Amino acid sequence: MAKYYLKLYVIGNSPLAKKAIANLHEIAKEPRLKKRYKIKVIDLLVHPELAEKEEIVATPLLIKELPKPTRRIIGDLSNHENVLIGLELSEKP
Amino acid sequence: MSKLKTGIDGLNEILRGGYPQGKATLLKGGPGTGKSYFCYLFAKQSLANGEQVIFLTSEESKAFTIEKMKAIGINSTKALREKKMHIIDLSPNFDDQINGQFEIEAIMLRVQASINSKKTVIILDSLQNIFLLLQNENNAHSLLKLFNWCRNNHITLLATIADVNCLHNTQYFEEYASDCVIKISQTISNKLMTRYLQVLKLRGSCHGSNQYPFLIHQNSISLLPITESLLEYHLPKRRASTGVEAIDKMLGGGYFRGSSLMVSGSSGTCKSLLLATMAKACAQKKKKVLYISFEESEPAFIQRVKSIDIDFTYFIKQKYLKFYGVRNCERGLEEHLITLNDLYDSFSPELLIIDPISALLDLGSSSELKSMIIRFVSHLQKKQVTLVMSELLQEDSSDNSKIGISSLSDTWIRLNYYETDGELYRTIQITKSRGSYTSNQIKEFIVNDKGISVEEPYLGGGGLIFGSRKKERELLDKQYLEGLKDKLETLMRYIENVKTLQYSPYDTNYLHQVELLEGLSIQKNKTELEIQNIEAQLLSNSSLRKK
Repeated sequence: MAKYYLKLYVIGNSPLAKKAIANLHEIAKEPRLKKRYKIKVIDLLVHPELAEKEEIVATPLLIKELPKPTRRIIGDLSNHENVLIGLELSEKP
Repeated sequence: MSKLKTGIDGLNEILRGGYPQGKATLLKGGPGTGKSYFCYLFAKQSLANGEQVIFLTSEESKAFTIEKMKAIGINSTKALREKKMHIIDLSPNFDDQINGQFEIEAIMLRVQASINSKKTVIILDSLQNIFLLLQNENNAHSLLKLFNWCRNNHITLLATIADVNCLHNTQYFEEYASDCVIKISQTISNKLMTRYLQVLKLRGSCHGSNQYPFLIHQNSISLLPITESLLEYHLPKRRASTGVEAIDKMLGGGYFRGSSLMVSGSSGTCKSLLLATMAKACAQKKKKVLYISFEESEPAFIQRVKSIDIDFTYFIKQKYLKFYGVRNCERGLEEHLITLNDLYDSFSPELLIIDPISALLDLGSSSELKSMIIRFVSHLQKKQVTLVMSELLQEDSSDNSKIGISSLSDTWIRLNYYETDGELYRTIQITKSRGSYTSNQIKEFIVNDKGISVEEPYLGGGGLIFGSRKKERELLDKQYLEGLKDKLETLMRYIENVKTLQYSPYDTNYLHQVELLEGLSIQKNKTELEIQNIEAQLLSNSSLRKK
């Protein structure tokens, strides 16, 4: 089973950043993801140069680095099912 | 209020210097109005001024932006390497999923991270593409934070936006958040497209408020606002020759350099040949001449003027003469005007000839043409170039100038032709010439294989006489006068002879002699009077009429 490497870019401690982090941890509890993931939360205020490198326009931004292909999801990740679809983990056809 | 040069001469004039420094300027316009060009030109100008340029692109990729900048003459690779310029690609990635709410402060972070100079301009092309990504309006507002942030940090911002009303059906208030709003549009009239620019607002500064036409060509933008007053210029004092001595004399010593001349005449009055002669006279003095023709192509014209012994090929080779032939219907009125101006700027001639200006009448109403010419003439007067225009008069219009711009020019030369006794002859007259003592006389205008010459009319008893009738009349008058003089001589001799006969008062012949002498002296007096009359008439005609 491939391992999931997820990066979440946020800006500081904004309400949306907090919401997105909470949502991502919630999603990680899904049995489909259990023990197969690695999450890295990156604050762009600490690493502003990464904003340019990743060509980030909007945050929070979730990037699925592995497995390939790369997927990007913008937003506070409030719709869990859609996030799973985006990560290609959905069981729904 | 300090301003930053826009990179477009005409726009600098309209904005009284340029975009407001440390403020936000919004360029608003529909698709194809050339918003991006304004951005590239501003980037070029700012780099030349030593400003750091941060170019946010949301419509085109970074690579494409670099290419387009190169096309207008920005050494973009060097500027990027030296960190004088940063290109930030903000194109929305449509593969990105949107899940819930988001914020766009990351743009600000990227901008801030790339600033490394105190003199920075930010160019954002374009807002509406970022708006496309941001469906909810709060984000549009957060984008406007960029405007405020720039203002607070005294950074000049130039942003473009499409007419968003047509895209979103919502009214954004970016117009109100900006300090300067420039609207650009394109209109089509007579099937010809013209782009217009209008400054909607400029906080804290006056600005030109009209709709100004502009032109994008050869990777630059041309605008021609008329900001200077028509009456500011001074009539120049130096004179130049027209190439025909007699016409110079009629003008009181040639035309004034830097003035405008109008040559009017109906078809076949040899307007173009007079203009060509003037062009030759100027080029011969090693001064540059730009000849713009709406009627003929370069080879056709060169061949035509060869027939009056003018060799244009030599002057063109020596770069004293540039000929530019263009059809009037190829472009709109404003585009012609701007093209002419650009041609002028690139060649900077001393003499600019437009043949005929009336060809542009087909492209708009005469009032439009008149206003265009007023603007053009005043523009050139500022630059101190001599402008010579010709105007084609319709045969039926007799003396009336169709455009009504003859009064605008400093000098008005009228060419005419008349037909009498099955003969055609051409005439020239100076209807007006500001600041000169000009000839009031209509003179004969002769064109032959040696070029143009002007001949004095014959001032016989019946007024001015031209053409072959002039020769005929001259001869007749001469013969008549000579005849009279002969007659007078004979009479005088006869009288002398009669006087020598000496009769006694009682002789019958004496009475005959007295009667004869009386009759002869009456005849003599009559002839003398007639001769005097004719001579006086010739004399008074030539002295009363100003040559």
